[in-house]
Amino acid sequence: MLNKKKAFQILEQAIKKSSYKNVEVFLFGGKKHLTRFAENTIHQNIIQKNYVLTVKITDGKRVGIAKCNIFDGKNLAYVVEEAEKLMKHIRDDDMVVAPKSPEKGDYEENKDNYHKKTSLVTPAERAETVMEIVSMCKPKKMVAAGTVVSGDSMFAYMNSKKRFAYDKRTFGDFTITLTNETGGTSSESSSNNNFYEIDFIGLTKKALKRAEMNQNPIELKPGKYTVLLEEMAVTTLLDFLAIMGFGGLQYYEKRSFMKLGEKITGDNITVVDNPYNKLCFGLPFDFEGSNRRKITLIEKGVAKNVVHDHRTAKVMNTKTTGHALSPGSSLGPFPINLEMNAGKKSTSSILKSIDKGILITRFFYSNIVDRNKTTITGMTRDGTFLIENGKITKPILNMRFNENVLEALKRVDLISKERKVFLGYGGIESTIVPKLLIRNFNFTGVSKL
Amino acid sequence: MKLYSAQDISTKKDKELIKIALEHGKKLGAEYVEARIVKQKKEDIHLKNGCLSGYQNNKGIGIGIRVLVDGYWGFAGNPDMKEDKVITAVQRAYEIAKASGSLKDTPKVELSPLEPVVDHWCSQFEINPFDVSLDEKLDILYDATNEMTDVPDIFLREGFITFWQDEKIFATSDGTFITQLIVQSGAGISATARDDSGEIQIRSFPSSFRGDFHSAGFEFVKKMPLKINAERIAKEASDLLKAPECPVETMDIILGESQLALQVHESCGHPVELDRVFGMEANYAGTSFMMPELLGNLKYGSDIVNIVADGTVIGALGSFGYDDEGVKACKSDIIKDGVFVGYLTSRETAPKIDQVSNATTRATDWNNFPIIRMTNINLLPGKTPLEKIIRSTKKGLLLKNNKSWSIDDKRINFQFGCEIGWLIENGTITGIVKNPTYSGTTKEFWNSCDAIANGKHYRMWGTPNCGKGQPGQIMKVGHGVSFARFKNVKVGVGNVK
Ligand SMILES: [Zn+2]
Repeated sequence: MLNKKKAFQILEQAIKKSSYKNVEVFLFGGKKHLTRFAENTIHQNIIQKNYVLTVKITDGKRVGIAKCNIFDGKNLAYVVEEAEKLMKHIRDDDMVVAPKSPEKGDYEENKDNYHKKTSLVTPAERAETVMEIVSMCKPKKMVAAGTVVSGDSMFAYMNSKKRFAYDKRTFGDFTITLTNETGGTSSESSSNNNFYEIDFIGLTKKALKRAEMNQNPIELKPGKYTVLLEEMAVTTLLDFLAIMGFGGLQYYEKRSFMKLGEKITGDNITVVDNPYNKLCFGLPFDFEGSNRRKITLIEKGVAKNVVHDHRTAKVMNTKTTGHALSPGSSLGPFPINLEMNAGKKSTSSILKSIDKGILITRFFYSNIVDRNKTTITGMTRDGTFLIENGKITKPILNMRFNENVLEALKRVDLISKERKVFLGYGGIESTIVPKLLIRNFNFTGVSKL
Repeated sequence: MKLYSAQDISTKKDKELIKIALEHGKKLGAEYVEARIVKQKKEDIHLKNGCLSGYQNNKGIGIGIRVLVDGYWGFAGNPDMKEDKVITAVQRAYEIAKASGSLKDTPKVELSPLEPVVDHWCSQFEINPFDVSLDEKLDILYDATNEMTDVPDIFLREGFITFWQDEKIFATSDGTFITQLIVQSGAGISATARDDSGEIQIRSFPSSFRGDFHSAGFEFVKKMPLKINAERIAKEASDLLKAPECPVETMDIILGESQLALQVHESCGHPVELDRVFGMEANYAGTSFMMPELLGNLKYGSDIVNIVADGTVIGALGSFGYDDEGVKACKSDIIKDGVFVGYLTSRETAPKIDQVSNATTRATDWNNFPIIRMTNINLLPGKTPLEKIIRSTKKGLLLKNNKSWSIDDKRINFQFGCEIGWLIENGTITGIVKNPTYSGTTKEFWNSCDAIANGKHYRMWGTPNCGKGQPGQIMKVGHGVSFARFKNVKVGVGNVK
């Protein structure tokens, strides 16, 4: 992996290639080892390696951007030239901001995210892990599919005003889907900066138990049901809220549902974007080199803040919150470390409180139906169960839902005290969520031939 | 027009690196080695209200090494085009393959036979978009989006333009050496309207989500009628604000253009990918209800439904000369007279159903393992003029431009949302509805298809963002469609509260 010294050397060279005064450069990449298994065998087993350099040059109200993955003198000159070319042709834009000098209380490099041993996991070790998993599944006539991932990533920022930042981390990731003889499935997943802290065996056991339960599903008529959403399903609600309105650009363009100061969900919902949770330490700086800040998005049901980068902060007369994405992205600032508050109830006591309801492991292929109402649709997947008198009784066929996310978050009766962490891209994205008990969740269809 | 030869794609140094990679793989003991150098360029401009909202100008190069050792795969991607780094990548791929084979009772990979081929292929284009000035590209978008300026309620005027260039050198230890140059271009516009209540409606042209794309040069984008459609779609977006909500009932629907293309993509293209059928995507994209025992037996659609996979359509986004296993692009039947007759296959999966690969294996870039992808999945035109289809519809909706798509992991239950619906009553269009959606199940839906419009409206559409695989791979695919009518479909989801 590119260490700090080598990364800064490349960034310095790139900055020097430009005759312009305001230059920002960002370098990220690393190695990803992914052992993919299906049908109880390893079928795609790979290593990927790549680093991408982004050059951003500004001049007054103009900006130029270009990227490349080769860093010799010729290509650095090329990428700088391409960025300058755009700047000369584009029209003035009020949102363009020149790079900033170093911030006070500069970021601290986090060393907890890098585990040397995780960067050295061998193909043989990953294969042994798969072997162990498969040996648990085969005797039970289960077919396993999934991924065992290990890798490292680095992120480095530098600008012509001498602000710089570097972060490195390792990541491990495990996903598994089991299919039983009747075609019923279950899934589990876990990720950790330390590969060796992932409980491959424990998660496989959990998935086995679920898959065993998921046989001969009954059909439930579409309609409104009480649902217990497991963590994976809750991430879908949160992810779509982020897409529909937590970003400063959507807010600026008045496309966001966020009406700051107004009540938008139930009192029991608080959502923050927090890169500094010990469970999953995010990137401490963003793609503009700004320190990332913990931002409360929804507090006890009230819309509090949206996230900003320099561009949206400028036009909205506020400060960046350190949520810039890669230069050139249309999306604008975006929260990548979302966290929903934990509740007070244990999962088992929540389950006991349900007379009749549906347990949902996860949603699949969800999409926005009506942005105006925050309505999304999707299917259930990998284990949908009927709950009767406080107990999981029968599996049911996968169902389609159409639900207004904000309205659903007004109908949350109980929140679990346990929460689960999901890590995303390069180990820098994360979501932490509890389980939710929601009344009158709206189902509109069933998956049936 | 500049003619690109094999020498333009593959330098002496590239050839040397490939030779080193193939030889080193064989020396280590691999029975089969593939080396794939890919040099990619992408330019993507997103203009919003006259300003640059998004911009990508990316150049990437690297080599992907895939080896088969004792019947098991290993793959390594490497961006560093130096001899020692390429050798390291081969070594890594070899070690990974050894690990893949360490599981007990794992069946060995058997590849369908392939004669070695030495060839050069180039997609057809007149003007390489990477030789065109930025001003010319930007002007197309400025000109078109300016037309929306005076339309009431419009607050976002957006234009998109994208160009790709892939230079590929593919060689195998069996003696295959193929160079390909693929140039692709596309563009689109959209208008977003808002009223005093804050409600938002969008209309796009020619297709939503950044437009339409072809294997073509800058000439394709220059010819796109963006400017003359800009004001119309802006007015439609504004009109949608005042339009009634899509009713919740069962009626006939007529799908056309990119929405019909997406319907084919999701409910036919994906479930016939043979790797999904064998569970290789069970952990991510999902599986399929179209199992091998149904091949030749499943009445997938009505008698008029004919769908082919065709990687040879000139100018289509999913076309190429050879796939990333070196198999020559071809055309094959998927649905014939309504019956399910064929899959999309790879050299690895085809032998499992006693077939040979029909050339559908591709990788997003040099850093990815090639997997089964759609080529151009085309619903062949029917015999009926579109006007007649509309005239013979008692009550129905004509739906265009996708807004939302969702389908389950076996590709059975789907729901789509469109930007606009035209209400048809007694054969005449009587008005528009907003937020139209429709849902159904694949087999029932395609069997309810009672009319397909003739060749007059048939054309290729490009889908540049098909996702599949772990790690995720994005692929550019194409779909040929005209218009089609489906009977008694559930439309609308109502006012979800
Ligand atoms: Zn797709």
